[in-house]
Amino acid sequence: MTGASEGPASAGPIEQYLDELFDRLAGTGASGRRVLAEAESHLFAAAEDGVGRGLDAEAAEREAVARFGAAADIARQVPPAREGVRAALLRLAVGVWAVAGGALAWYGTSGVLTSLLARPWARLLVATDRFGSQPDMCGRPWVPPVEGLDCVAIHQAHITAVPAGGAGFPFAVVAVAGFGLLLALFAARWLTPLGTTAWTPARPVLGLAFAVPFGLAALLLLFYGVFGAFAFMQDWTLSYVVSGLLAGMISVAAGLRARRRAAAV
Amino acid sequence: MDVRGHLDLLLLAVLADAGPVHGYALIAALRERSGGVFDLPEGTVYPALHRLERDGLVASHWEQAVPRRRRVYALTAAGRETRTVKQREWRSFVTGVQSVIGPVPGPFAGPVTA
Repeated sequence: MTGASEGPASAGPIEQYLDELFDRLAGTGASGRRVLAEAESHLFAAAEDGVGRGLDAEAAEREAVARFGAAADIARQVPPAREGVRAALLRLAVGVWAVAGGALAWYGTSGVLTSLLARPWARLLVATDRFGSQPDMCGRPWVPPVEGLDCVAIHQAHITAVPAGGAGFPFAVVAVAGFGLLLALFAARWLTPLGTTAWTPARPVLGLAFAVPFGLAALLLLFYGVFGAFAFMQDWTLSYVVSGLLAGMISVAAGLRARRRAAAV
Repeated sequence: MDVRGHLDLLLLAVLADAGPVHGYALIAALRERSGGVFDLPEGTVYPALHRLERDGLVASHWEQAVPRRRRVYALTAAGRETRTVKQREWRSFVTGVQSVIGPVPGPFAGPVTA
């Protein structure tokens, strides 16, 4: 190290920053080494300029580091080195973790939302009576002709929560598990080497891994949901529409994010 | 100001005018020529330069300067050509936008109407 880095300042903000950048560039090979070398040259030149403008060495280094930008942001822009099966498996593992968390969160949330909407949905069916193509909702075969019977509650009990899984299925637990997996992934990427390029799936690839299956699921579920609504107002109509809409939102968000990342810089 | 999507043209333009130059000077020139408008995180310029180099638009080499060695960047022939094309596209885009939103208000411009 030279210039502003020499002497007591050698363990200062620039060295700490370069250490962090070094960690975050793991798996980037020659590209990362070059960024690190240029960052070092740039930061010490900037610190020297700061000292030339009257700042003390410590303040000049802090300013140089602040102007350079967050190490994580820079490391994200460095492509991973060409690597073998091991590195590909590392990224695949993170990708599977993310998709599994997203799928569980989607499935559980769909069930919870369907359960929450079941009563107003049943009320709507009964109140409008001819909603869909089936008149006389309270006279349907499964509604026993018992005086004082809560017709809405009976229809509500027949609403299937999510394409698979009955009323007893622990949708809330599945949703919490899914969001927990996603939160754990974010935390691990923030705090451990899991956030380095070596462990990071390519953004467009991860975006497509979400956008394609969720998009196809959304199309299928919404088709059957709408078909069920117009044909016989089936008991699974609500759950198909809810889970289909959620899947569609996830697919669109993932697709837009992948596109934006691919176009950035 | 967010320069994502335009950084390539900005870097090519500075390199075309400044000639072979190292990263620190290139960033300083970019900041100075934009009047401080393009005050982007300086570290993000290096991955962008490397990408331009992978695309064959920029060439670079280490220069053993005092007090430390530096990587010097220069445009290639393909880089000069790309700069001309991108510059033409950008000017055409700006002309189109200005014709829609009106001229830039300034001391020599006419009154701005709603």
